[in-house]
Amino acid sequence: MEIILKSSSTNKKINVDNSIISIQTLDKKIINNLVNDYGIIQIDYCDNYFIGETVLEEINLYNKYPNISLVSELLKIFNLDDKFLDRSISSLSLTEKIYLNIIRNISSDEKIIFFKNIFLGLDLKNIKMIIKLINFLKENSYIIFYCSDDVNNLYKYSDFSIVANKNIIEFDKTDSIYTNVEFLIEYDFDIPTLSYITYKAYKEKNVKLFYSKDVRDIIKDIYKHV
Amino acid sequence: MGNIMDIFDLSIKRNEKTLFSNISFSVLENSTTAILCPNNSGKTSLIRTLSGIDYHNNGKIIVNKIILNKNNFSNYILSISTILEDIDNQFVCYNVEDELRYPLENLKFSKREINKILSKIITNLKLKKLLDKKISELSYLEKIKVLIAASISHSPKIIFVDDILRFLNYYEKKDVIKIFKILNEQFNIAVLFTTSDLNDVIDVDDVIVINDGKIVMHDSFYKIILRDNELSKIGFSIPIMIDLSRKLQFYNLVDNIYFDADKLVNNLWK
Repeated sequence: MEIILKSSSTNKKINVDNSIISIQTLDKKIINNLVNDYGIIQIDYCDNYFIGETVLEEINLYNKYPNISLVSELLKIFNLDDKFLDRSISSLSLTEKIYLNIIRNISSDEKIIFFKNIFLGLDLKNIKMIIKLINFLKENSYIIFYCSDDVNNLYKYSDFSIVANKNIIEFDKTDSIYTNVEFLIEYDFDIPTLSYITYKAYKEKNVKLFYSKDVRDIIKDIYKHV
Repeated sequence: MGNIMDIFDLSIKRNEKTLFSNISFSVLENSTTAILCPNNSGKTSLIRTLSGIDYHNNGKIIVNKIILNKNNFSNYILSISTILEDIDNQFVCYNVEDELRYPLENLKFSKREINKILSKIITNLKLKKLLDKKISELSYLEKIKVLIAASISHSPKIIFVDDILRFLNYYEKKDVIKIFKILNEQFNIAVLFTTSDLNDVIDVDDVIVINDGKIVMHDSFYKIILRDNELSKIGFSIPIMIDLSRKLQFYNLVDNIYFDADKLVNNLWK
């Protein structure tokens, strides 16, 4: 699938098949427009409004024809067994409600998904589950968009990135966008911590580190240069 | 400063699963204490139990020298206040001003007293602009501020807050933690809140880490963060600057934990 996103400089056409695309925007309208224009399913963890009595009833009420085999796959990813489907909604913890919200949305079988604030309120174990989930979706030909308040998560987990204020400013491979620190500074976007350290080390101390996404990688590099 | 709350050997079981097993801790007067637990570990059950909404299987819960039991229940609940995670279901009125007045009217305070109490709360929590708004018009953060304001109007000694920071962004969380400090300093109210995010406890006086139903750490943030490997094993995500600083400390490249990347760069290459 090709997505055409008009940036301020160019109309860029990028093939985003099987991709994870992060969005950093200073204006929420961009996300609303994207979701509406492309008919994207939006998953918002704050959406805890359920009508069904049980998990299964909720999934069936949410989708006319839920993909049951996909539901089973999703349960496995979240380390849940089939008994979860019979649980009453009122007995679920907030984290389990987040799982249900994800399952009821994805089981509709739409292939483009947008995760709003993808890791919000999750501990490490659950962050790993969400990473497992988006990789599973990617392998199964989904296109995943996500935003996060933490720019380090935008840099670390996406293939492509969109940065926008009132308009889309740039749309490119994530590495191209988030290692161009002067560009991010110019437009007042958040900068990944490790990119910023790499940029500062070179600019102010003339120390050339590699751009890293992982703390363990930059540590080795710093060690060589101190 | 003395203790406003003491918990002795508290055990909580739900559906044959032990959520908390013989935990004991205290909360100082006018202080903020965070309970840090992984997701799905029973934070809501703990707060509901401390609030007297749900039962406990064993142990003692004492607030303001009042033991939580059937005989003392009405006195106990006047000493506490609770905000549960499901914030939308905790409003009873249509607009903000009515929501703030409701608890005091319910407790038969006079109009004059109500105005005096609310004036202090509205000023300190900067709520004037919200007073005429409908509850449905409020943002998530504004709803939290209104719930906090409504929950302190009867001057409780401690407020229990269940994981409400969860859906806030970094700056909004800082804003709420500042409000907790205002409750401590301006209203002499202690705060006990639960969270799964280490970022939430950076500016907090006292942090209790619970894993598998037991207290595994109880100290200041700066002490518990020195046990970053254990925290990571329990399942907490270590904030990136802390993770980087701790690993650099391991290789003797820096002496301190840095929260500021500029300072870290300047320290590494002086």
